[in-house]
Amino acid sequence: MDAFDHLLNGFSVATQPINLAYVFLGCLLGTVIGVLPGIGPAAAIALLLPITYGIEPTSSLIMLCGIYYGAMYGGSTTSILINTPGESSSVMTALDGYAMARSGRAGAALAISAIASFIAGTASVVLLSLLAVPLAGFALRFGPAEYFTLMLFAMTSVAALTGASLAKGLLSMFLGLMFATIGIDLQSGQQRFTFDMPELQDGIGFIVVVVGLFAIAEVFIGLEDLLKGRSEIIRLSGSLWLTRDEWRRSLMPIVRGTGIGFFKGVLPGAGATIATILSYSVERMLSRDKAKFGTGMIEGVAGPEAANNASTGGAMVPLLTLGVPGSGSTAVLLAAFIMYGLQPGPLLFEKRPDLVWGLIASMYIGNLVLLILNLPLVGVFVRLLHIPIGLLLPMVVSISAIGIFAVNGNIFELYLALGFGVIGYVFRKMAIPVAPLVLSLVLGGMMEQSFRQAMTISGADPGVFVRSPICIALLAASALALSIPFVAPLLRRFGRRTAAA
Amino acid sequence: MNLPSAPAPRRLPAILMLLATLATAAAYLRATLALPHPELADPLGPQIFPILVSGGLLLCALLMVVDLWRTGDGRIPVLLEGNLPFDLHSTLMVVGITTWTGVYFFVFERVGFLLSTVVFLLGLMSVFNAGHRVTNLCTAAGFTIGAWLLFTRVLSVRLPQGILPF
Repeated sequence: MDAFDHLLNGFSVATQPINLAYVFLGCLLGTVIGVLPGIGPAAAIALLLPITYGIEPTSSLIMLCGIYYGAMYGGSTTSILINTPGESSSVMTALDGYAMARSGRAGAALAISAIASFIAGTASVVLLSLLAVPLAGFALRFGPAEYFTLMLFAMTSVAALTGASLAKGLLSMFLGLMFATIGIDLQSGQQRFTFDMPELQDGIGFIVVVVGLFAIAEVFIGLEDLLKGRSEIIRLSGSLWLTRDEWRRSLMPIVRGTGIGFFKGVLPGAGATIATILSYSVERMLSRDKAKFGTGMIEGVAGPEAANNASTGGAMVPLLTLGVPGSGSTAVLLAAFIMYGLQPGPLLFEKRPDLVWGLIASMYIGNLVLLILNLPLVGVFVRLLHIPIGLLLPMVVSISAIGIFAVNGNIFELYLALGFGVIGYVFRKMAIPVAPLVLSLVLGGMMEQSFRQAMTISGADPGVFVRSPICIALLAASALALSIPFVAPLLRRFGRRTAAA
Repeated sequence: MNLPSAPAPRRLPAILMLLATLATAAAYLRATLALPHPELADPLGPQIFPILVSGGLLLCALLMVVDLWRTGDGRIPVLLEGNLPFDLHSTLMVVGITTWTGVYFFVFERVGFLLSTVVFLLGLMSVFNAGHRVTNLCTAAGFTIGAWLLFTRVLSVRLPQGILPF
């Protein structure tokens, strides 16, 4: 059966009325949360997990994925209208989107954002459909040593590429691994770092960490910003339809942004943020009006928005085919899979093709739903921006409490989440990325098992990690990722000196 | 070694982060070495991976020293790039919210979701949306009752009943 047949079967699952309803609900909730300042896709998924309890896993994951790309989609609205990106991947949209809004073209900026997101999102799902089968087949050749090096690559890439300082990225990663070792060791059955507390025997739940780091920490930051004053909300103005000239100028940036976004989304660590920066830089470089970028150029909205949403489809490739996420948001999605007793990866394509292909097919539908929701209803979503932050953020804490308590009914986990909230606040202040911590917490257990299995099979010979070409390639890629924070500034300085000479 | 100049208030948190990393690595390594090694378990035992993680944390501390010395494109030490200042007012505010939230979590199960949540929300809203008493009261009560109905009645999620009979 080829990808097309699988996809047709997937559509038969995704178009069931109940699943269509969950796609719609996921996209709607994701967009609403994406529009609200401060709450990103990872927190959105974690906070809304409780409402999926009791729902059949396929439908539940369809809804969670809808929340994921809905939140990515909705983040651009705050960038354009209040110059406050919902997440880092919307920062580049704010540069020209906000300038367009200030000059009375908010409608056009929001329209091109929705259209570029739709085109790029759909194209990335087409590429995901084409790549899924061959990559899943390739992943069947992976043993414990290959999986260990793959997870090492994913973690080091995220740690190295999500901040200015490699030390901070690695600190976040190793803290995540440290938290992952808390609980009963699966191979020896021995308790580790539990301090005789029964609440820690099962380890620290990912929901506790994600809600603390993303949601509660955001409440602290949001309330702090509130005390310092709030950005002016630009009124929705101008036609939502684009002029012929704006269409012409947007087309190629969307195509280029889609390619950049998908490729960067597939690579762990690079993610949506770097994809949008790269797309913006490319459009500025190719434009004849370089100096006008930042003053309301539609190319500066179309390209990054396409890159942002194409990266979500790209990020699903390693998650679904290899079972290894490449970002904080997809790590939360992986944890949701695991919560339902499902392990993404090549075997899931064999055991549950209905689920995997139903999920992929739902993304086609989801992108269409998002376009339909975002163009005519953008005015409704904009009204959400007028909700006072002082009312909204306290409610986020209560939703967090419900989300955590609903899992195990354990008050201790609420205290833990509060602790992680404080850690997340300090991380934000110290510019330490949180994505490596979440990723390594989710992958840490699997990584340790793969490491110990590989070492046991090889008779404790560490040479097992350099015996296969896959391992060597992944270790080389990890070393390359770790060298980028040191090499990139040197290359930039060299480039500047050469240009000056 | 001459460290590049940077505003003093921004350097102190970075140095504290470095010291905290060293302390965490040392404490974690000590706890790891105190773990018993079962004779019949796998040859590597439960200590090997945490030892590697401890080594990784020590490596981070070393890299922090390098990044405190190395300057980036912003002409300030890489370790300080992107750092936000900790001002007293904000810090006190976070301490206050953390304490109030801690109290909320403490009474969450004892008093019950409905009462504890209304009081918690009203408390925060009174500070951060001051001067809108009626709005705050209606929002706190409306949100709490709405969330309670949604989660307990529609989604069958158990929330603490506390002192109320329902």
